[in-house]
Amino acid sequence: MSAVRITRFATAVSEITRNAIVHGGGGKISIYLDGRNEYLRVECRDQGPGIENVTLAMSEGYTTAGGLGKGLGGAKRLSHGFEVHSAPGKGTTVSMSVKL
Amino acid sequence: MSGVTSINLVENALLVSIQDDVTDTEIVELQDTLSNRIAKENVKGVILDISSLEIVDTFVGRVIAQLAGISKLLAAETYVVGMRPAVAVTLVELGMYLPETRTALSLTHALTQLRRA
Amino acid sequence: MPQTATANILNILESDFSGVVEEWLGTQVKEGVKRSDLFSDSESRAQNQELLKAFTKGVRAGVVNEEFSLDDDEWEDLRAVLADVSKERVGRGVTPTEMATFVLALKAPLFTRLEAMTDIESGKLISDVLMVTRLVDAFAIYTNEIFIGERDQIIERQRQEMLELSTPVVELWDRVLTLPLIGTLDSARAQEVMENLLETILERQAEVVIMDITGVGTVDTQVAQHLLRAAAAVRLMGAECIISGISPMIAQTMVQLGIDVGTVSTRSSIRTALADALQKVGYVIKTSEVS
Repeated sequence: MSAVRITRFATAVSEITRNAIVHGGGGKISIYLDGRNEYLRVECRDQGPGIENVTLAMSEGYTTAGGLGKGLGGAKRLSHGFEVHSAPGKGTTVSMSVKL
Repeated sequence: MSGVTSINLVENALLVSIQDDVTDTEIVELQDTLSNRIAKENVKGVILDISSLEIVDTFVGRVIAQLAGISKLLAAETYVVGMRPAVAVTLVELGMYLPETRTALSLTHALTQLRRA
Repeated sequence: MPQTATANILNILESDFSGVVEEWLGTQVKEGVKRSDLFSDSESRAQNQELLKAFTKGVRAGVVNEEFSLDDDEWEDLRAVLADVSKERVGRGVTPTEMATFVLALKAPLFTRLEAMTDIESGKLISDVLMVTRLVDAFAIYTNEIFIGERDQIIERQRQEMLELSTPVVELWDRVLTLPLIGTLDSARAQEVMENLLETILERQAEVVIMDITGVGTVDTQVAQHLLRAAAAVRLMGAECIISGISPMIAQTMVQLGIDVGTVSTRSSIRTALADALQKVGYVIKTSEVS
């Protein structure tokens, strides 16, 4: 993998795990490799308050913590695959993947 | 102050080398330490060397921008130097252009510009 | 244990191997897929022999209870021979249709031989024909997959080579780089261009970069975004960026599209950009006084 791809994905993971710590009170990280060794997937799961409107949270400039609101949308742009599952009171799970 | 980030006086500027294993707490504490030293030592410039950083996410990017902002208010021109290509690409992708922050290729370049100012 | 489902087929393949090879070649000639312009007779014959040998091996061991999969170990030889043959044929410009028809032509010699077996009852004949069809079809489909995979690899390789060729970063002068952009600038290429440029800045310790867009046909919002993002990344690394080659036409379009270049300097020609760049790094261009 190229240096740029590694940095991009590592930054996305850093962005998401920081969210889990700040908003979700910490959580669990799982790392998967697909059967053909083509994708690396990182799943970050927290038991925090969850996100009410995922689409809104992904939009540029949206923030609840006084940040820049670039985190979630930015992490999506830095990953090849990106999914968020969340509901109020149910915690948040973010799954992101990168082509190897 | 942590041991991983050093602040040294070079010519008339404070050289801050941020190490790769710097923690969130340490980098936030740096704002305090650095602003006190700028005030006390009456320097003309601050050079933030981030060449060790392999990852700069929006949090770290924001702290860097704030460090530059604080130094500027204390009348020290701040240069961010040594940003890696991969980090620059990623920051642009994150929409963090750091428009208020001066940049230079290396410590030498930043010092040359500070001497000219 | 010989399988009853394939016993007759196997019998034909083993007892009349060279006959099948010859007739297969003949059918290929008749259907116009034997590329005698690309392959000599002996070459074609050798390839057909090898393929049929591997196919026979698969039929012998790889069909259990009328079921088979070319992905199984028993078909490994066929896959290996196919990979070689396909690679060679792709290289010589054979089309996928020719390649599939080439394999499918194997049905005819097998059918005529089954038909000639007088001791088969009609029900068995039909099931044998069906088996041949399934086997040869699977063979053809697999061939096409390998063939297309081989072509994809070539395309990918050429795409990579073209990307590298089309994004040369030139050191114009000490600490001054130029990047002459030509053609279209899509996301993938813009990314490649940017990474290549930034690496060169680091390597050459360049202070000024001229991105020349004289050769870029149209500048729409997306192309402008790519350029400005590249300029932003250049600035983050501590170098300065000049965009040159902005034609009057492009300038008008950019304003109409509401594109704000911000603090990035722009020049109409690479000539003025170069003069600026040299000045920035401390050189002056001057006419020499020759008597």
